[in-house]
Amino acid sequence: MKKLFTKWDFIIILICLCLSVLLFALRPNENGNEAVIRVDGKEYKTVDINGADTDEITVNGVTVVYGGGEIYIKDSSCRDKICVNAGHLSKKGQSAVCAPSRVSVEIKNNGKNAPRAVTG
Amino acid sequence: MPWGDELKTVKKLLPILCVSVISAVFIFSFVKDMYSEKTQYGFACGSEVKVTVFGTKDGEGKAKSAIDEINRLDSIVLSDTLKTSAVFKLNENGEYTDDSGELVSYINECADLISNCGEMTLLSKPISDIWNISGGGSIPSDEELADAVKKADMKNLSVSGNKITLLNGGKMSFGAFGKGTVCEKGVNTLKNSGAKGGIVTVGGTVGVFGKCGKSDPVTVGVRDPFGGAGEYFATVDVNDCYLSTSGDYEKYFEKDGKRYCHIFDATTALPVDSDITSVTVIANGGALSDFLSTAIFILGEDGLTLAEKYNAQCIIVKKDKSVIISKELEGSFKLTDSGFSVSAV
Ligand SMILES: [Zn+2]
Repeated sequence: MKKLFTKWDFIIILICLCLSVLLFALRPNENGNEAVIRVDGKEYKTVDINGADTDEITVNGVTVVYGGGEIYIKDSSCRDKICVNAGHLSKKGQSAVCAPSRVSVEIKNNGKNAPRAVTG
Repeated sequence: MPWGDELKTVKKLLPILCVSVISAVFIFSFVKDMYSEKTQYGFACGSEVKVTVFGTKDGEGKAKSAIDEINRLDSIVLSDTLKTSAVFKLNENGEYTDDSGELVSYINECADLISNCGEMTLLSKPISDIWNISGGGSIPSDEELADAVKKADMKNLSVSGNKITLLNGGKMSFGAFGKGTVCEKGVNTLKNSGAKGGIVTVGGTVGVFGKCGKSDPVTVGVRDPFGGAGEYFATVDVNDCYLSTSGDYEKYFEKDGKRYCHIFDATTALPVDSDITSVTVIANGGALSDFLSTAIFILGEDGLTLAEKYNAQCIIVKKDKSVIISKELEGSFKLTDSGFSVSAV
């Protein structure tokens, strides 16, 4: 009797498996120790805030410091300093915004039960 | 042997089957992605703007047009800091002819609301100017306060047809209404574009409408007035409404251990200082929810009758971490921080 599967059938099945694994791996990440820095409403950089060392990025006159589980706006050329006063962020969903410099920093929160917005 | 023939057919079909399954998965995920929620960010009214669109093709484009419209309304009409706006020109020249009638319609809407609350004014700029909170803050003299009260009086605003005139040093600011007004504009822009649902956030003012996919009803966090930006102490599940919060924790300055916040009583030109630290209002309009949260922050629990009048619900947080919520919110309001105590009225 002939073999049930030829080499090609196996290859095609393998491709199917690989694709499903790939699709599964590419689904949105739910636990965020990542923070996104946006400039002018566009993503400028996504950083890992859990690194042992702290790093610094300066953009549009705003200096963002991250590492050791937190991220914050250390300094800004703006007048009101609302962004600096937002303090050190470490919890999911927390954010600091410098509207005059059009820079914002937000710790990602993709959790299922995370609120879609915060009023306040 | 017939069984062998069938096996042959299955074997022939197997590759075709695999290819169809793969294509189906791709087409499905492509279409799903096309209709999945899309979010865009921007800036207006001194805050970040976030627009999320649900259940439509080209959600990204629609979110962008909503942000453009919000920007236009802020920069061309309502802003009191951008030179390009009608309000800025009105403040510079003391008068303005509003050919499109857009500013006049917003003035009328807000003046109407303000007629319920003598402690609020659309001419609040003389008051915020002497306190200079965005520039670090300074405490004005009694004469300056008395002078600002006179200038901020709504009587100094006159609208006749398309002509707006400011008298006796009055200067306009949509401060208390700006975010809600542009938020409502953003929501209406999305609705008109054919989106099935959307969430528009302008700073702390949130507008929610329609069917928001899996997020329906939409869970909105209520800012923890004792925590950092983005931290919340409770959530509420909502559909088709606007949420605004007025609090003493975001824009303020401190001098000799006393906190001076950015919300003023127009009858005294003094920052509001009470046992309340924040007020959140859920209402069916953006300017309305902005108005009510500010009014109730100033009036305290006496302001609850105003909320009733406009069929709005509120969440009042006191400095002792006790929380008063409207009865209608029982069920949709959930504490996420057990450090607060809740009672319904
Ligand atoms: Zn800033």
